[in-house]
Amino acid sequence: MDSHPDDLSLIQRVAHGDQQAFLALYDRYASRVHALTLHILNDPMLAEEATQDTFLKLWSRARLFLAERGSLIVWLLTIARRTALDRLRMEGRRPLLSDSNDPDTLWSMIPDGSQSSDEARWQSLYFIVHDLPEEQRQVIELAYYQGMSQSEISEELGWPLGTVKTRMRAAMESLRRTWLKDER
Amino acid sequence: MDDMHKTFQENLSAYALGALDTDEAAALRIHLQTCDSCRAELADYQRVSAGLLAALPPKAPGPALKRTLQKRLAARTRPQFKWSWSQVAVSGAFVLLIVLNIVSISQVYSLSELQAEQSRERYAEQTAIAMLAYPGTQSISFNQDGVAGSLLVDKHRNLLAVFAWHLPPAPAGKTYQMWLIDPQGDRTSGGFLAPEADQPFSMAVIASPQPLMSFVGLGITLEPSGGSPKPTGPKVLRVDF
Repeated sequence: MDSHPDDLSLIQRVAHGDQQAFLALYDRYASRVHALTLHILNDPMLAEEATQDTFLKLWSRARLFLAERGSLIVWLLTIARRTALDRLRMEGRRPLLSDSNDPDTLWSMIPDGSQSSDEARWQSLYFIVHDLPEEQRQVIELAYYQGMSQSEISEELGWPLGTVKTRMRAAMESLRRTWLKDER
Repeated sequence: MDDMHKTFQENLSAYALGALDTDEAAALRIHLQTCDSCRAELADYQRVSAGLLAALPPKAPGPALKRTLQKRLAARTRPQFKWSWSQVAVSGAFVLLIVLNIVSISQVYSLSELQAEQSRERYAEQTAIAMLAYPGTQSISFNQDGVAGSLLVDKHRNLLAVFAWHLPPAPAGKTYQMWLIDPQGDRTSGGFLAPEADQPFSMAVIASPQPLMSFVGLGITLEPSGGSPKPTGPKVLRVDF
């Protein structure tokens, strides 16, 4: 048997109830899922619960994963983000999510996370985000990791809505230009 | 037109982050159906937003979490067994029907009706569960006049599931009718919602005859039994999506 089975073969085995395959995926991605839930919830206990819920969803939804739509890691992290944001709302810490993102589209955007070159790419994005001006980083943080709409961010920060829009646009354009330039 | 296009284009990055307000997002989705350049630009922004999911430094959870998951998996019954038992029960009913061979035509008819109803209910339940499990499904909570619940909206598959808690049984001669509401306020019937006396919530799945994107909300009214072509009775609730 392959000692390093790829994501697709593992998730297919999980879909057939293979707990060892599930644990292999857990070992491979628990740190990434937990990093995301912890970042969103900022509470170790809640983050562990959200991480657990995410992997239980992976277990129960494995048969719904469609390889042709994209990588497993983005599918899993999309579930993790939604699980954590749902938990955030349940705790009454944020208003209802007005998230129009389409995970199907989203999780086709990043290649297989088990490849080290992708690790380097994600790490580079982390540093690019941190190089953004503070006010731009703040709107990305509130929008994507706290599930807030532009109007909610405007209210939260006391900035005019137009300012929020301008800063969000500038931030995303900067990330797009810098992070995607190597692929062009 | 150019000004409109520019406005939509300016909203693309916020849309990719899921940060557009609902009405702006709905308008942009319509624009995207006909604008190649915006779709291409959005694809770039969505690559960035997908990257943001993985761009955080990894952080391992405590070792106890893995053990907890192992225990929970061991205790879990996989969902398909539930349906297998149900299928066995229905199949058993048919076998019994044939073996006994003494059942009158009317009884067969009644059983068929019951089975068809069960099949419809099971299909609705399976669809709702599948929608719950799908990461693209939009979930909208509501709580109006003592009726609380959730709307699950899958605009790609044009499916909508309604879970309503504490909806009282419809008065005699009446039924709850669901309506899909378009931006002009016109209503298209989405079928009926029938509270069961023995359970506190009602559930229905609507397979929209038109793209769900062409509607902006769901309404429920109280109508005469058999339903109405257009709403005539009192409004029970309205949920925008």
